[in-house]
Amino acid sequence: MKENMKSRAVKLFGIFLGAMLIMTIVSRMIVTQKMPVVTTTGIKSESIAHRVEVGGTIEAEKQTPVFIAEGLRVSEVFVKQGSKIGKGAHLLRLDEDYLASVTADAEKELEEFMEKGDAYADGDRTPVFTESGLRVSQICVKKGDSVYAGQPLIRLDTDYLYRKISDMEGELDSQRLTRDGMYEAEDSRSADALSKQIDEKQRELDRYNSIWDNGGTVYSSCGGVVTDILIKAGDITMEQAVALVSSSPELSGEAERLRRRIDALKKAAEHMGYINSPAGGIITEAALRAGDLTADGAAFIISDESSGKVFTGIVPDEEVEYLKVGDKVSISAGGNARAKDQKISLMTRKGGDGCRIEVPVESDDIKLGDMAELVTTKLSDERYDCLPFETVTAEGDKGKVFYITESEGFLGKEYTVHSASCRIKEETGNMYALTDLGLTPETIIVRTSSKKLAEGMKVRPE
Amino acid sequence: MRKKAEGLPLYIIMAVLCTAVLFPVILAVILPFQAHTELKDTLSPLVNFTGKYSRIDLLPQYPSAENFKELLVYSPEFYRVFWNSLLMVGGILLFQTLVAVPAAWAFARAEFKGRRLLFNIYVIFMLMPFQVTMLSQYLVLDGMGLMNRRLAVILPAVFSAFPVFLIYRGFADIPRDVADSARIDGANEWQVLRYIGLPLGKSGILACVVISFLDLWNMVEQPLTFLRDKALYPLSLYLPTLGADRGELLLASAAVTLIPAVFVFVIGQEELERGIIASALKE
Amino acid sequence: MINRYAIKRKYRYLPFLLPSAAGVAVFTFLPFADSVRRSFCTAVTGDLVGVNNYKAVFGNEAFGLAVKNTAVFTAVCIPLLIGISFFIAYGLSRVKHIRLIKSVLLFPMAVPTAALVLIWQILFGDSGWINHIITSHGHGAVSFLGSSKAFWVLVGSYIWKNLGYTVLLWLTGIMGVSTSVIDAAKVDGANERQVLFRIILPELKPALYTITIISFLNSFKVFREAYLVAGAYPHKSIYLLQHLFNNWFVNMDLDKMAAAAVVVFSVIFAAAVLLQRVWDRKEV
Repeated sequence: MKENMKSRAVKLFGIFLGAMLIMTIVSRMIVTQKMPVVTTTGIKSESIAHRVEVGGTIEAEKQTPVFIAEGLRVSEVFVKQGSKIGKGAHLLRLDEDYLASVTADAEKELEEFMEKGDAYADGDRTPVFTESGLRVSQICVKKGDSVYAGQPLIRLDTDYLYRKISDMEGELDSQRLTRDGMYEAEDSRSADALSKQIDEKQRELDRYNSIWDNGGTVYSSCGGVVTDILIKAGDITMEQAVALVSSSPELSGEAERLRRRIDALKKAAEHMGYINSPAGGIITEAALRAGDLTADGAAFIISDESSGKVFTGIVPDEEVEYLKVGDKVSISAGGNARAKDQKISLMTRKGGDGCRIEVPVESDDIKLGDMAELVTTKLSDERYDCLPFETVTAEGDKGKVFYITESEGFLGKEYTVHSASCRIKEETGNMYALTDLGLTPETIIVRTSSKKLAEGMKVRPE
Repeated sequence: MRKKAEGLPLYIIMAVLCTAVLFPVILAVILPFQAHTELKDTLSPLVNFTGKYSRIDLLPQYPSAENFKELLVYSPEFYRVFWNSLLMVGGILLFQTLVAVPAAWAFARAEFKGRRLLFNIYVIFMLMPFQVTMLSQYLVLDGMGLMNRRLAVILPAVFSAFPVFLIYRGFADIPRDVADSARIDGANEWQVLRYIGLPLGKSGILACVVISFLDLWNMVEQPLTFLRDKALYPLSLYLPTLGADRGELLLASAAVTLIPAVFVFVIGQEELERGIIASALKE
Repeated sequence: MINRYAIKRKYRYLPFLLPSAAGVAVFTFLPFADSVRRSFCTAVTGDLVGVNNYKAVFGNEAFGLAVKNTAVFTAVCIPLLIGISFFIAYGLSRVKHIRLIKSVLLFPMAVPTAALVLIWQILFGDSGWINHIITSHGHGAVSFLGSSKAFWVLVGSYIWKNLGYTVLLWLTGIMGVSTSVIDAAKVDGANERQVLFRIILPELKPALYTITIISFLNSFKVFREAYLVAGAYPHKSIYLLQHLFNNWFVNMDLDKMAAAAVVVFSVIFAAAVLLQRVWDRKEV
């Protein structure tokens, strides 16, 4: 019985071992079946190539505005926005008659102003004096005249002067007599006092005589412009200045304005009312139409093509970081017109959104006025972890990747899957550029998997 | 006539004793058949002590084989270590026997000067715990380039002194004349061993095999020291790598580990007893 | 002719012995001799440093602890085992149907240690089942594995494992006492106790000797349980020599290991020889 039991036990043991053997294979097969098969890739560290495209137009480096005196009537306009013109071309024609009347009005206005108002700005004015007590017979100059030093300004009444001088002489004689008498009467004090008077009167007389000698004229003491005449014909001169002369006269603002306006009007009249273009190029702005009255601002703005072509555009805020002055970009304007490696010359913040950018363009194919596009690819300075699209499950700007760690297991090398999260910065080429990935560069990333993956699963890499 | 005891009190004591002795084993067999939910009460306090102690359902409410399924179907690594164990133990047993039988025969039959001394050396080294010779064995194995290979475990065990000792006991009982007469009849020593020694000493050899198997199926220190790759571990080392946090798997694999041992025990119990007795009677 | 015969006889067995002896020499004996050499040198450079390593070993606190523990353990568990198993064997000798009981008692020997590790933890762990029973009766939880009680747990597991064959050995010895002698004594009026003490026990001396030796041998194996259940650095009451060796090995303190190995070897050697002398003398 024992032998039977023993031999049965031996047989059972054999069966047990056999079963284990079979299960070995079976379990391996089952587990292998359940194990996802994955393909892997590594993390590439690359700069993001960011493509920037900005639209804009080709303009001339220099914009020439054309101003016309305001208040004139336009009879004809020959150009419009976008017209291409050469230097000296007719832009518009003014109504000549209207112009003439406006000019006349202006001149009159100036005259009147000069007469009345304060035509001269405050400045250095030299006063001209003459002996007081004489009658003015004639004023030779008027306000605003240019005079030279020594030019007669006022003529005095000579008859009046003569009579004055005679009277003075008579008075002097009698005063002298009186004095002599005083000396004789030993009244030296009174005599001295009187002497003084006499001397003074004598001086005055001398002065009057000198005036008589040079014909009773008051001369300007300096060259300049007569800014004020302070006396009229027929008045008696007084102590104060009779005229003011300014060697560096400045017209008061108002007078100046009037003067300039008259100049402009005269200029406009030069070319029979035609306003011609000062430069060749393209009209970028034409503000006037036939029948309008000219106004204050520029009537035309001409892109001066000889000054060079410039691409201008507005760079939106989010792209601004990729461009900076000095970068080489490529400008292309429809068709095959393309200029490569043009340098950005200017970037300024325009109040509001974006930034104005200017890129001088040297190309024969690209013309003024073309709509153009600035294209450039900028490599970021930083290198980002980049992974192909298929490795990352993206949700908005967050992404999840799976990676594999190797370990020594009982069956040899085992590969376990872990998940890691990251943020997607942007797409570059056919990869995502990621930040916050937190994995070492040698980490093996899962690319494709035959089954859904979860953290901690064991997998088989292909 | 020996008085047989009235028995009952003694029987009861024995019964209690046996139950107490078997209790851990019963647990080891029952627990794996419990479902995860029940095992949670038992195992989770070990992992995460939150004031609740381990509770054991002696009779599972929902017996299930899910732990075994988990182990036997979904853990191919278990088979790896199982066959590792079997391979190593089987290899050791085979060569151990091949080496020890002749040596034991020589000890039992020969009479040469150094015999006693050599035998005593064997016995002395048999007595030493592994750790004493651990270092020196490591150096030798390392020098041979066998570290981290199964041979590092197999070879020293093959040349162990213990089987020689046990089998020697088995041979020592054979009367000298039997063997001598055979040789006079013209047999050489190998034939004497083969035709006389082996049959007569069979029980000793089997006892040695059984005892060695039970010891080797269990071995922990040698593989722990000499093997590094987990892929080479025997079953006895795989079990400790599962902690209480994978307790279900551990219980199931422990139960499976028991099975070969039980088989061997059942098959070889008689020889085992005989061998134990034989090794005791004479010294 | 006889001489030649005799000579031939001596060398005849050589090939029998050679494989085993060679293997033992290569894997056990010679390396150990090398260890002895190493115990006098440093680990790294190999210079001769005399007894420095020994001094280091003896001065090492861990070594002292391990030695104490191992010695205490041996001194406690072997007598305990012998005593308990004797009582059981004696009891069994009076009973029928011992086959099953023998199998049961023998069975723990077959159980792989590793298989039961979790069970021990479930039972004896700090949050284990026994604590559960204790606390549900109102007492405080006992830390079996983390306190000096770990020592007794280990002793318990040792006895559990080795009870089987020890009982077996005793039983064989007891059964081997010829019944005729016992019957004769009984007729002479001896009672149970006297039969036990005067007749049976003396006959058991050889069994005792073997049991002691094998128990001693197996007491070292308990390291396996301790290591698997409590780790490489267990509670200090169960920190055994093997723990120390293991940790030294992991740290590559080869010189200390060599010295300690030599020390341990010498101790065991001395003990074995002593025991043998005592027994031989007694037997004679």
